[in-house]
Amino acid sequence: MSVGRRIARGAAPACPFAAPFRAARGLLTSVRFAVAQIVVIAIIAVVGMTVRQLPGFAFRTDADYAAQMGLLRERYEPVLGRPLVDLMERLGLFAVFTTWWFTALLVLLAASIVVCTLDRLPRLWRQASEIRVVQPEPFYDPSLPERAAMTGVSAEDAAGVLRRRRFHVRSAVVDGVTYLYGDRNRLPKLATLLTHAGLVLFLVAAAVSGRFGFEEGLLIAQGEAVPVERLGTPGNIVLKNEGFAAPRLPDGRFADFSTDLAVYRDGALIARKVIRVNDPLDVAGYSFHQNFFGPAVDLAIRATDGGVLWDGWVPLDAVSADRPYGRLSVPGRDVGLELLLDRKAGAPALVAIVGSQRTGTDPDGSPHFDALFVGGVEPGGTLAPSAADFTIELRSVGAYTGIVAKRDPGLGLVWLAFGLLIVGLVLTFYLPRRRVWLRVDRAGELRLAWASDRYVPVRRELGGLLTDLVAIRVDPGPRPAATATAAAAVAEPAAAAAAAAEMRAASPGSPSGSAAG
Amino acid sequence: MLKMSEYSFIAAILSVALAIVFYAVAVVSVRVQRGRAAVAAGGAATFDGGTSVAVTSGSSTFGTYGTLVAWLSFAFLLASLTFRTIATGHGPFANMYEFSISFATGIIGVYLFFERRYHQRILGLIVLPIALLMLLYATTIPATADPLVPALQNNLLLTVHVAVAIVAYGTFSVSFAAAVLYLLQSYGVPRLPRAELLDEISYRAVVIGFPFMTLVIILGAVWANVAWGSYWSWDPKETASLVTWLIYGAYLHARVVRGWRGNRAAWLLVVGFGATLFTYFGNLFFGGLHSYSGLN
Repeated sequence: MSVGRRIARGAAPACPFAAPFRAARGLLTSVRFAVAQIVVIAIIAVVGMTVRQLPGFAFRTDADYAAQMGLLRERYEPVLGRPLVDLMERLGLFAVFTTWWFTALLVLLAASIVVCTLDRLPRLWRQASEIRVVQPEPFYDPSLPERAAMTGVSAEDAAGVLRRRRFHVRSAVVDGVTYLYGDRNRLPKLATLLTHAGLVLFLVAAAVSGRFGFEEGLLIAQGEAVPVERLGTPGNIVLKNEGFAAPRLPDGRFADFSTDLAVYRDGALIARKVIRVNDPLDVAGYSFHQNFFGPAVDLAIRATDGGVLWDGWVPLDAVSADRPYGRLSVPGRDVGLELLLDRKAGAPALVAIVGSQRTGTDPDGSPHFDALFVGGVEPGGTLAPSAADFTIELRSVGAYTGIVAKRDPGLGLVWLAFGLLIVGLVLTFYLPRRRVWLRVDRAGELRLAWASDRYVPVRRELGGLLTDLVAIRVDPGPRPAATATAAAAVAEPAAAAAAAAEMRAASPGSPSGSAAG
Repeated sequence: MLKMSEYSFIAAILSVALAIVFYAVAVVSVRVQRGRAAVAAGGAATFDGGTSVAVTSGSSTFGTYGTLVAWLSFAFLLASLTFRTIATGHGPFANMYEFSISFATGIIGVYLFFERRYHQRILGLIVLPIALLMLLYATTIPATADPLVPALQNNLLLTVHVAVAIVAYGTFSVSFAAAVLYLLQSYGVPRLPRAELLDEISYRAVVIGFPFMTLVIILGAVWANVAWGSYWSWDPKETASLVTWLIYGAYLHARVVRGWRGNRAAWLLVVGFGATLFTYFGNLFFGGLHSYSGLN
């Protein structure tokens, strides 16, 4: 560094952010840091796979969360103990992929990708855009790797060989020396930018989906209708289950399940379709997917004075004692019902009903319930508990359908990201760049220098090129070996061509491209 | 047709085992010959791993037999899968039994591709036993040809998604084998192929496999979006495949951008193959959306 520059630098006002910026850049472009990030994310992902995670619907309400977390506690507390399970819950290990710190790691990874890509961009652009047809003589030194020399090949013929090998050829003549430059897959070199843009775009799309998207699991019993979004939402859509079918195979497994789904907006039918798992309905910016199903019971609850308290289906969307289980708060009464379906092949279904009443609050603040009554009822039967002022008629046992309603403004970005990702990878790995420089001097000696990406099998490709050059060679002198070795080159092109072309250079067997040029 | 499929499957098991024997004899005899050559040359003989391990001398006969029998096993496996496809009416990827046979087919197919290209039969001594174990595993699980469960009733995506996965897993098996040989050599096992060649083979296998693995994940996301309305659910199998993808992505970055080679890169490939197996078997242990293996 010159004195003048030192003075100039010393005189410039120091940017207070320069050092932290450099440090951050250094960190984000460090391959060790990138690998460390990936390892950490991988370890967390393994934790998320091995530790049972809370399902998405656990976060709908506090009650759902408590119920699902209770199931996890039943599973883990006997093994790990309550303090450790409490700690795991606080750390978010039962919902790893929705924790803020996991999201922060993904954001950090995206930042690394962006900074790394920006860091490499000038060099990549330079490599793709700056083309030097004429290289200094030492560049062609046959003692360097991936160099060759031969006689008897004219510049025009050599250019023809390059073109046949799909090189884009440029030429220049300087002081009677002809220089050829062949470039193949010049622009795909930049494809790595597409790959990395795809990765970042995918994370952006996920953020857009999470922030602006809508997803709701809807349980709709036979013949019932439910709004897709909250009541009062302008232009809200209502779904009606016009019929659900789940035919079984002879072995008892379900062969298929489908819902005849009607979609209404402002009271008008706008779409109707039988949807199944791999055949959703797209309408009005939403997609409706057949996602799950389960049993439901059709109940009529009547007060002893004759008034109707409940008339409709209750989905049994949980499991207790390996049986379908559901709950219902009796409208107008401070009573909750727990419903457990016991269904055995060849026997009528039986629904066990437990009625509970809130009688106080437990020390931990949760409501305390006491059982009012316990009973069982078959389809068509009525339970009339003496401890309650209502009767429960079980009209029938059927099924509810589980529909996922989704509106995802990030979906287009996701597909674009996937497209960029795969196109970038294919171009990068399957269309790697090859460059070759040829110099034919006035005496007719041809010298060749090769450079390619690491993905290129140099031995085969450079060998093939040399074989082609040997094949068009006009040999002025008696060189019996040339003809024989040219034929042999088919079997071992690099070695044979090297011998035939009087390669005075190192063999092209090196697997990696040189950084020449 | 199912019987034909089973017969072909059994023939494939026997032929893979036989190929392993031939390869073992060929590789051992080559090592013995080279050892003798080294002694005869006063210890000056060196092994050029750039040419075939199953050299052109008498020992190559076993190598050639091994290759022929390996091709035969590949043909038997293809026949088994074809017969099963005809019998069931869908691609042979619907349960663990079918996928295990497909996985072994992919491993052997990719290995044979690399054998033709690099002439390193010693790789077969690691790759083929993996395929054999996969086939033996398939014999322990139910082989019933059941109708597709509703989630899998998408013949196009089922076929493409899993077929692409098989290619990816096969290439990762080859990269694992080359990495293991690399590590063995670095820990002093003599007369193995050149370290640079092993490094190149493992690298090229990943270069082929990584875009396929990417496509597996993308096709899975597309399918999940069609089937369940969510392109990503952090399902255990999804997550395991993402972890596998990240490991191989880290390997490529470390090697291409920063020139990582040697033992570090080889260990990364070993870990990557562990993740591949974890992805393959993970749904047996963790359930999730991919719980249609027939074993859950």
